[in-house]
Amino acid sequence: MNKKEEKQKFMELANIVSEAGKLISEVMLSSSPDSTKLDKILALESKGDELKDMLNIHFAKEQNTPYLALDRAKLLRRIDDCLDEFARSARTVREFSEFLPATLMEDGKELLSLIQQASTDLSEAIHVIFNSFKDALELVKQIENARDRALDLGSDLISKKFKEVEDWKTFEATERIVKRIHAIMAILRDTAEVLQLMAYKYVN
Amino acid sequence: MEDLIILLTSISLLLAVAIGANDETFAPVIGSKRLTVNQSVIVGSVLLIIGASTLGFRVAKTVGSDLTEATYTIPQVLTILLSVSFLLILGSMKGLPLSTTHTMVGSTIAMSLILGRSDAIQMSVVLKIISSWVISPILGFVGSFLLMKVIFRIKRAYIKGLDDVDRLEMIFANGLLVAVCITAFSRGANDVSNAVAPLVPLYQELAGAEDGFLVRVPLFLGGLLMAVGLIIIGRRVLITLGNDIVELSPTTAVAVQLSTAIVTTTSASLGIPISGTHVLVSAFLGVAVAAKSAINKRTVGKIAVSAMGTPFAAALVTFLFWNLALLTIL
Repeated sequence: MNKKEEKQKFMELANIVSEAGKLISEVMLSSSPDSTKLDKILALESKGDELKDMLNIHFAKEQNTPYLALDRAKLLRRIDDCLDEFARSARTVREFSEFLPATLMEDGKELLSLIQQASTDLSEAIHVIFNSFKDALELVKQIENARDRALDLGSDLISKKFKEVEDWKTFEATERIVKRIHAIMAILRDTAEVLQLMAYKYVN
Repeated sequence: MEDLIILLTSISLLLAVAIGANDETFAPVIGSKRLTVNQSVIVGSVLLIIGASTLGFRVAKTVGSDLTEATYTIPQVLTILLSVSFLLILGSMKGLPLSTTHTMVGSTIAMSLILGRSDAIQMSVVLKIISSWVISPILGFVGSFLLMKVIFRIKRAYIKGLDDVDRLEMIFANGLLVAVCITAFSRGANDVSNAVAPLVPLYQELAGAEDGFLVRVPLFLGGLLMAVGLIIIGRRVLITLGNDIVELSPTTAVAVQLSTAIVTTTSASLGIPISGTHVLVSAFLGVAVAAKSAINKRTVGKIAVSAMGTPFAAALVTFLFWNLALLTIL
């Protein structure tokens, strides 16, 4: 695999992150999620695993400058963690969506938009870091802000439902889903941090 | 007489194997994965042999015949070779970074003093060598420091994204390979004298000439056996060192190697024996200072002390071995 192919694989992974992020944001708080979308998220995670395996072999066995390969291997692991989290969240939605309150989608609208925005920003950051460290750092900052906002919104949503909801199953399901949202935002931010550290090596 | 020369040559060549086994020149290239270990030892071996057979004569002549006018007998040459070998083995066992060059020069001068032939020692040559031992690490340090500053400027001006990083590192990886090849060639020229310098006057006497095919035979064989040492044993040293310097990017490594290559090649061309290892360590220091990285001052101090003390240690060992020889054999 040459440098061009390596870059191409990272671009494909970035696109998968963006697509999976968009899909998960459409089903996350729904009490009747579209099952095909959930299946698609799991399929995207499998596709991501294939790309990850190809790149891992490339980094481990081929003649790569270790100084450069180590950073990219770290980025690859984080991207894989993102996709794993999307898949985990899809399974959680499948298990607990029937117990979610019908109003949750509306109550958590901003939260869902943050997931989609952060996924898109991460995808764009992976694309753009090859040409501009400065632009990548701007996007990383946006992802960090989105993560912070999502933590606040998620905590507020749980508090709100704790007061409103009387059925423990409904509350438990809501809390689990919101925790998964927090986990998604955390891993998106961790992945962005890897890009940030790569950029800091070269930007004053 | 010829039998004794063959014995001496054999001992020299064993020393050459040990020197080749400790050759770390290609470590940065292996560490940056520019070449595999097999490719490195093959290329390194060829360059060692060429360097030893060509420029190696100038350095070997400086140490072997220009340093002192005293003509050593075969037992005296044997004592020098055994002293150098012993000290290097002891140093390796104790983990001390001893310079083969410093050891050989110290031992050669010591033998003249032991024989009461201090008048035979060519002080101008001694002073030239000692000053080069001080100047060459300084030049290695300054060279790599300045090169690193230039490289930083290039990086700041040129690098905007990862694509630029990849392009630049590839250019410097190729530059590193060129610098390492030049270093390997000059190290061959420098290091072969550490093994065969004492034999040069004997072969000159055999040939009845100062230079010629016969005189170059020990140099060629020395280069060949250094190559054997590198291929069979040296590869393990290279793998260890290559992994230890895995964080060294080609752009950083090229500053180290280019500075080292310039200093060692210039010295070899002038026939001045220097410690390639000390130049390399100084070059690493230059890069560390340029990058404002932390330096292990204790290790640097240890290397500096051993550099200054090695010729004296060699003199002492030579004195002891010669007296032992006088007592037991002669």
